[in-house]
Amino acid sequence: MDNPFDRPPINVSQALLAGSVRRWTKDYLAAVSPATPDKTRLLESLRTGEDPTIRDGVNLALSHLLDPASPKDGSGRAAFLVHDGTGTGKSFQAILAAKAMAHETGEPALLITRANLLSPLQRDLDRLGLDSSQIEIVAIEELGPFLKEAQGQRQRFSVTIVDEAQDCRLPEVRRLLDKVPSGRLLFFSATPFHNINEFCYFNSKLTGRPIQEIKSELTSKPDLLAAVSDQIKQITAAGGMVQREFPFYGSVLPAGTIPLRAESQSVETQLIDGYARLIRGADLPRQAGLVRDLDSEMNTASDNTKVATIFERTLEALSQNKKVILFGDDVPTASRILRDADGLPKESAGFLSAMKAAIAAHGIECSFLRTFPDGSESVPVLARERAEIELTNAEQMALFVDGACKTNESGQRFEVRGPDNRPIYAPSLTKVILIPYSQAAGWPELNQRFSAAPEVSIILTPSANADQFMQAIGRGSRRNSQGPTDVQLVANDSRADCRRLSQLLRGLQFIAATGSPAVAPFVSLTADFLEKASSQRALRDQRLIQLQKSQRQRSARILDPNFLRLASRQPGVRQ
Amino acid sequence: MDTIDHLPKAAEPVSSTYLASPVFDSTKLLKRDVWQEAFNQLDTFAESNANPGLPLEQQQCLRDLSVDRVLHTTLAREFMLLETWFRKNRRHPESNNVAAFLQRKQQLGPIEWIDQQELLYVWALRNEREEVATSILGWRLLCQEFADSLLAWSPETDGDLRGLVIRSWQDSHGFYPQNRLRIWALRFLEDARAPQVLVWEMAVNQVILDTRPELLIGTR
Repeated sequence: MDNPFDRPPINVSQALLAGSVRRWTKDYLAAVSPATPDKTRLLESLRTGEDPTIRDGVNLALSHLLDPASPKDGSGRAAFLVHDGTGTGKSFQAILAAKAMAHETGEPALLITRANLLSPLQRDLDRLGLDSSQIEIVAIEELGPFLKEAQGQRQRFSVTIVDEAQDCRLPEVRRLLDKVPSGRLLFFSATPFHNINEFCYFNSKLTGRPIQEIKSELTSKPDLLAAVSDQIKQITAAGGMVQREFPFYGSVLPAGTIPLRAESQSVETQLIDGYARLIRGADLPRQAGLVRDLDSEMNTASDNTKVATIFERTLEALSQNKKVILFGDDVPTASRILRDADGLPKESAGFLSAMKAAIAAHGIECSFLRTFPDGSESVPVLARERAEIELTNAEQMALFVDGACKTNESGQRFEVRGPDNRPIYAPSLTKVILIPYSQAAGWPELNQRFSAAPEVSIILTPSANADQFMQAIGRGSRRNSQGPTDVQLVANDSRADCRRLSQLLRGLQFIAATGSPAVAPFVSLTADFLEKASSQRALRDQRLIQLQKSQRQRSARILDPNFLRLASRQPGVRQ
Repeated sequence: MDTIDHLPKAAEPVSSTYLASPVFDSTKLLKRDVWQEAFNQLDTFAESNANPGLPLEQQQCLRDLSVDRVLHTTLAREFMLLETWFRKNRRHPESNNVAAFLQRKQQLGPIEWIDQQELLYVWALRNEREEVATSILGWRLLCQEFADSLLAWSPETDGDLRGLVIRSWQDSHGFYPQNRLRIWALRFLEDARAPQVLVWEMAVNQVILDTRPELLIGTR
């Protein structure tokens, strides 16, 4: 299979506008020169090399931001969005845009990123042979105090550059960004919009139109997704954004739903009927809680029917010398409706825990990431519990990641690199890892980074959350992947799966409407799965209705006095 | 899709914007707009200064709680100022309306109620199998959806105090939306959507009192 990462990424913007995308006229990047004379090669190749991605990104952004005619938001700021996919060089572009803008205007640039990305950003700065003069680099977590001080000193910035701009989903981040003393905003994100609200925020910044006006216009259209696509086209045509992305590198197994067995169907019906009874008599808060619990019970029940199938597929992948990454949920349940033989609520392990037990029973060691408690991202009191899980998860991850590592005196792991500064290959200790969907993001070393390493196979159960689903897929197909990843979705025709697939499809279609080519194979896959599962279900329900009808007819005949009289006269029936 | 529609659904909250009487406006009587004053004074950097370095989501949660406290304090101040006004203006044509409005004060409760929500939430997460946890977690979900619907409605209310208060949630949607919803409901009880918020709270409190009264200590 051809490695798409050997070529420049797809220029999505150009494809969207059939080639009539705006071109830059001034090469702002030319003014940026390295502070370290012996490190000029990388920067030089970005300026003049075959791949124009970085040079175009920087120049398009600066052309737009410095154009007095560009639209301004309510606070008089022009904005530009670099909506590039993973591995396209967003960090390089952010640094170079900051340097070029500072050079052009004489004012320093403010570069904001997450605290945990400060070190990689500094490393990139060094790789480019640049120093941090005329750039203020601030962790987004520290932005509040930084701004207070900057305001006190009446400091102004030529541009505010926001790396990982998807953090603007948080109102607090938006509020603080509005306080930065700067007339320009430059956003970088591979996944800026997950829903209509996030799309409207960026749209408003890029076009200068009020959020509410954009939202009303979009929601008044009969086809929301077409309206979103159309607006992206307009913003791109006006020079407000650019998008480049690598396609998915790998293969997707065609849809094939597992038929639900009769006993599992019956469990599902019992759950739905039982919860319907509970909901009928409950107040509204309890009803909302019960719907949530029903969801968990149905999802866990559905996923646990897949354990044997997924275990078989895991074994098959291992036998082909592949490593397996399995994504799913891990929600244990104690049923409100179903009872064990002893009358106690029927308890079920979470799906990933059940998988772990099945794998361990066959003597296979696997890595297992634990799920964080709900709300632990936001609630400070749960932070310690979360940190403990983070620690054990990092240890589990270290077992699965390929590459030679050493531990330093303070116990931190670091990668061993060869004389050419490339990481040295060493096979991982485990070949299977189980990851909860909620933790799909943020692991950059799960893919096949070494040509000598095994290929990667990703197995997923359905998730209602399209962003998490795509994050999971993204673990295999990355810029430094040396081989393809095969992806298999395992779903059945349960109501839980039909519902999750339907929600997933809506989410993926939204992402696709914003122009992401890497999502395309998964839109078709999910649509195929949903169609198969739904028609399989409909057929089964029809059969069930037919069966119930004929049973009713039979009972009616038995209760009919004429039938009873006739039947009693049949030969062999005792009078 | 039929397979999805057949699942049991919770009942829908009241969504009518009908007003049983005009929204009570204290501005003319007090000669000041306590709500606008409060929003103007919200300290821009307070939370970020108090908690630099915390993850963004935690900073957001703390910000949400501080907005909840401002809303609570503002309603308490409005009640207090109106009480003073009432004592001095018993024969004023508006005094009956003010007296009726002041009756809501007893339902406001102490500000500690706001911090209590975190304790309830964390307890419910850790005890999900208890019946009362379902009510506590469901209440938060219900309030989240309802607060979102109010936020979506607020731009339609040009100059209406109901919308102005909701618009203060734009920068902070509320991690425990029940906090701000009860303030909003008490303040705008004449709105058809408001009484249900207090009914939900009462229902959950009753379940807690019946099963785990220790969870409500200090808030009643």
